Amino acid sequence: MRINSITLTNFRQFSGTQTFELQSSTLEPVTLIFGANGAGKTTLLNAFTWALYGTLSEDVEEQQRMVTDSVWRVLPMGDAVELAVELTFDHEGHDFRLRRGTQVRKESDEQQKPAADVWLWQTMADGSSEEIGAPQERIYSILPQRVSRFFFFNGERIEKLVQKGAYTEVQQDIKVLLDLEQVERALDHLPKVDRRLTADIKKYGGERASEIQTAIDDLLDREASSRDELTVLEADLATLIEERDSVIELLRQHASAAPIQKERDRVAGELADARTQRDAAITERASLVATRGFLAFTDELAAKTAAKAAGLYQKGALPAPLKREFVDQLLEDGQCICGTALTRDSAAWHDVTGWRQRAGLQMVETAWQQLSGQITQLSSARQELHESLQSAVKRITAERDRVARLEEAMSELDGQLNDPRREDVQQLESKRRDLEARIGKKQARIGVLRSAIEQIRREIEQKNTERSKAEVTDELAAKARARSDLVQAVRHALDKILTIRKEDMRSRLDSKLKDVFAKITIKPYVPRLSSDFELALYQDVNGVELPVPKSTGENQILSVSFVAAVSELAREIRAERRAEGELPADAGTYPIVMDAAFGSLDQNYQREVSRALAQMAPQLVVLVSKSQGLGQVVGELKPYVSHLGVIVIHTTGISKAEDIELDGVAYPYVRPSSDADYAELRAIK
Amino acid sequence: MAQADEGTVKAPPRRTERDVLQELTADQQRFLKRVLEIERAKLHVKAADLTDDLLSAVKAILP
Repeated sequence: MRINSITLTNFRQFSGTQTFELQSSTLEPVTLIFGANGAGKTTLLNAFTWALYGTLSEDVEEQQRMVTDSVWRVLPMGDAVELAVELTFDHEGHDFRLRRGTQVRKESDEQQKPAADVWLWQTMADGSSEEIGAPQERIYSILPQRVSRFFFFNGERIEKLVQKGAYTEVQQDIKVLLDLEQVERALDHLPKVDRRLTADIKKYGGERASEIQTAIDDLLDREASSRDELTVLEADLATLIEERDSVIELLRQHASAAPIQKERDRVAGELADARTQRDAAITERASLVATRGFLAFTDELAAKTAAKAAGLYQKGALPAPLKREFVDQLLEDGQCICGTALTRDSAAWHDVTGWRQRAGLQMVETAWQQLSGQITQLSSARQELHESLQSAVKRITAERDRVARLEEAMSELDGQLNDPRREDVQQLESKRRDLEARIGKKQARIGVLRSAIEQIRREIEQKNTERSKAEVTDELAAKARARSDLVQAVRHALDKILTIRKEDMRSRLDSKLKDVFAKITIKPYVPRLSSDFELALYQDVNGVELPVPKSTGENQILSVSFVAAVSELAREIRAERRAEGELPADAGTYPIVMDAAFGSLDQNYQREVSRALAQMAPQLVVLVSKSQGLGQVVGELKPYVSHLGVIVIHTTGISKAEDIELDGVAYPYVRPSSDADYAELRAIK
Repeated sequence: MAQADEGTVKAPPRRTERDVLQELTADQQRFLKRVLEIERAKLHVKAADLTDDLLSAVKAILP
């Protein structure tokens, strides 16, 4: 299949009728179309698949708005407008014109998803055109829809093709491209044909032949039922293996998270300790203030009290009762402070002696001593309080800092651990063990079934030999036997061919994939396609092959390599002489139409991917923006380009025009529009 | 000279699709080709029952 042109009529943002020629040659297979973001590159990609299958990709929003908004807006209520996409292409030596479209009647301002019809015409040898009765079926036979994703795709999403879990679907789809599907179907259909034929043997073949045929039929029934069970078991096994692998992946994530969890536990312990220390320091400070805080205010008071007491002491005017030393001194001097002589045993002497008794009271003395002692100690107590408070505040500050730092660390670690997919390790481990056990049982049952099928096949062969020797006189039965032998022989041959093709296709695809990938990548990685069509990347580390985790970029390169390899192999195998006989020269040829062709690849990869695709694809339509396409991509693709175009976006959203410069010539890229937003498909070359 | 390879075990050559085809009779080859043509033409119809088509093909080869 090679596309020669596409014509869009009021299709999404492409207003009016616009045609773009795509006819390319083997030497110049590339069409390069530039478009700004939102210009309509994805729409153009979808125009191809809509024309072929009537569907749009999931990333197209507002799918019901099929008619250009500006056209719909001015359409009078009740009037109809044409919506269509037309493709012309050639396939296996025939020219086709495909049209999908409808007249969309306006019944409200909101568009309803239109139901479009499809027509397909084939150009006959005399130049006349013949309409094909079942157009959609014919299209499916040219390029089955599920296979189309290998040829019409968005470069930014292509990595899904090689993601884990995708390979079962890929393997299924690829069977069609690599001519495996028709063999499998034949193997499914031929036993039914045989059963119809052998009915005549049972009916007219005589007792012996009929008996043998009944035994063969029983064996065939057992074989069919075993094969059905095998198919179900193999599908179950694939599902279980996929599930087991995802559990192992989760366990691996847990293993990688274990050091983080350990660190988090340590930080959590330290944080609890820091908070306790901080709170203890705060309590201690509060206690100091509550119990000894007053000391801070005693400095001046103590000084005043000491000075006053000292003065009074000097003057002997202590407010306290008389001091004994003072009275003793008066008695020793023999004179009272009032001047009276204190002669021994005189009345005055007795009076003063009486005072001595009173002045000598221990209570008074103690009070004075306490007062003066406390005044002396106040200063040191105050200093001590100051130091204690300073120490408490210092500890509070330090612990607060420690708490803040640890809280930050905890938050960081929680972020690393916060993955909702993580389940409890023990649960996962028990799930893994359960899955392993179930896988083991399925594998054992599959083994039993396979050997049972082998045994049945041997028995059928033996019975067939017996049948061929049995005497059959009836002509109808003899003919039925000959026909059944023919069917059986072909069925056996197809069985062998399927086994040979499967292994051949896998190994050739694997080898091509390695070649293409090596041309593109700068890394020492080697892709490998397993017997289950699972794609993995490996690196040789000192002679040991280690699996490499794939990044998005690597997945994109791997996917593009895979598409290129499939595309080339599909053509190559049909050029070989095979059971299907001679096929047309372009059998297995399909165009590759890529939107956002180079995804997020850097310049080096863009260049290498461009080169690989241009050299391998029989027809390549690349839709790119200026930022994706200018430079390396244009430089690399230029020698292969047959058509160059721009999707000019006319928009009311801007006032300044923007051009794209190709070969030193400026072409419109973005144009301001006064009344409507629309896209214009303009050919440059 | 003839003993040069003595002691070494050569892997049997891998059977090819062509080997399988060559073991079939002319009728069987014709029928196999026809079967694949019929199946290819209806690949897009998943539930296609091709028993009648295939039966006709058998009868065309062995009338």
